[in-house]
Amino acid sequence: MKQQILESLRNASTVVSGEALSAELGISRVSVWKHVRKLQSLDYDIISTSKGYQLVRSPDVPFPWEIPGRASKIHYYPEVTSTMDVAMALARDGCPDFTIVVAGRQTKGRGRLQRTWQSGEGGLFFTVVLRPDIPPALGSKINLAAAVDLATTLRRMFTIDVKVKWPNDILTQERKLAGILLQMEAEADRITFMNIGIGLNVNNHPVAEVPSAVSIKEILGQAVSRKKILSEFLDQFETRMKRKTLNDVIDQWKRLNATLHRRVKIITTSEQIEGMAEDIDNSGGLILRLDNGRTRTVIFGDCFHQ
Amino acid sequence: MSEVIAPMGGKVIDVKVKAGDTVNEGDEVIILEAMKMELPVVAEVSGTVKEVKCNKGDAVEAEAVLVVLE
Repeated sequence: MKQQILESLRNASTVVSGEALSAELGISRVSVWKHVRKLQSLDYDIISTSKGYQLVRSPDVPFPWEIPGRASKIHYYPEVTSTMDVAMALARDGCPDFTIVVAGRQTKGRGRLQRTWQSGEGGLFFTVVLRPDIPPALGSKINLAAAVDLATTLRRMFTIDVKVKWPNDILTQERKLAGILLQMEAEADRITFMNIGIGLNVNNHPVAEVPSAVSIKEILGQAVSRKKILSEFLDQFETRMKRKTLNDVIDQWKRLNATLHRRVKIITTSEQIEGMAEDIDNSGGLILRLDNGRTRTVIFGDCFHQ
Repeated sequence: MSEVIAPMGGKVIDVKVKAGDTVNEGDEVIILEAMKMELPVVAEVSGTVKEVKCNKGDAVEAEAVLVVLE
C-alpha cells in the first residue's frame, strides 16, 4: 500500500486530497492518513494540509517498496550485524531464489576471513540469496559475474572508471569502492544456496585503509541514489542469471580487470607468492608467472598490486 | 557414525569444533575457502565429535573427510 500511495503522490505534481487517494486505492481516508504518518516517520517529506497530501522529497533508503518489482523479496533492516548473517538464516530456512537482504547500517559488516567491512550510514550493504542449478565448481564464476555486473552498472550510471581486482574487490582510481563476499552451501554435486554479499561505498566516507577506500560521493562530489544503484544492479545481474550461461564471464572480467599484466604479491595464511599476473583460468584462479619462469595458479589469498 | 565431507577442494579457514564437542544437525563445523568463496560445512546429523581430521590452514581435496561424528 505504501508503494501505491507513493506512486499516486509522485504522479501528481501537486496536492492530492485524502478523498482522491482513498477512492483510488480503495481504502478509508483514516487508513490513508495512517499510511502517510508511517511514511513520514520513515523520513518521507510529505506535507499534510486540509487540502490533502504532497510529497516533497523521498529519503534515499532502499526500502522494499522503492525497488521496482522486488518488494516481496527484499528484506530491509535499518541496522543488522551483517546482511550475510541474516541471509544465511533465511537461506537455511528455505527462502526463494533472488531473496535480498539490505541494511542501512551493519554493526559487524565483514569481508573475507572475518575481516571487518566498514559499514557506516550512507553505504549500500546487501546480500543476494541465489539457488543456481549448477555444480559447486562453477560457483566461482558467479562471483566474477557479480563483480562484472556491479562494475558495469556503476560505469553506466556514473561514467566513472571502475575496475575489478582479483579476487573480490571493485576499484576506481586504484582505491577500493566495493567488496564482494560469497558464501555457499553445497553437496558434492549441487549448490544448495549461494549468498553474494556486496558492500559498496556510496554516500559514506570510508576512513583510510589498505588499499585505500573511496566512495562514489567522494569521487563525484555529490550524493547519488542508492535505491537506483541497487535496482539497476539487481536487474542486470538477474537477467544474466536467467540466461543460464556463464560462458562469457571470464572474458568480461578480463576486459574490466585491474590485476592482469601487473606484478602482484599473493599472501595466504601459509605463504607469500610473487610474480606477474598473466591470466585467470576458467574457474577464476589467478595464473602467475613466477620469477623462476614457471607458472602457478592460485585459488585463494590476498592480492597486492605492486 | 557419520562423516563431515568437503564438498569441494579448498583451504580450511576455520575449525569450529574439537573432539568431544556435541554438535546439532545444521551446526557449522568447518569453514573452507575455495575459489574466493566461503563454504561453511555443516553437520548433517547431531552427535559428538569423535575426531577432527583437518587443521586450520590445511588444503583439502574434494570429498576429504573433515570431521568424524558419532
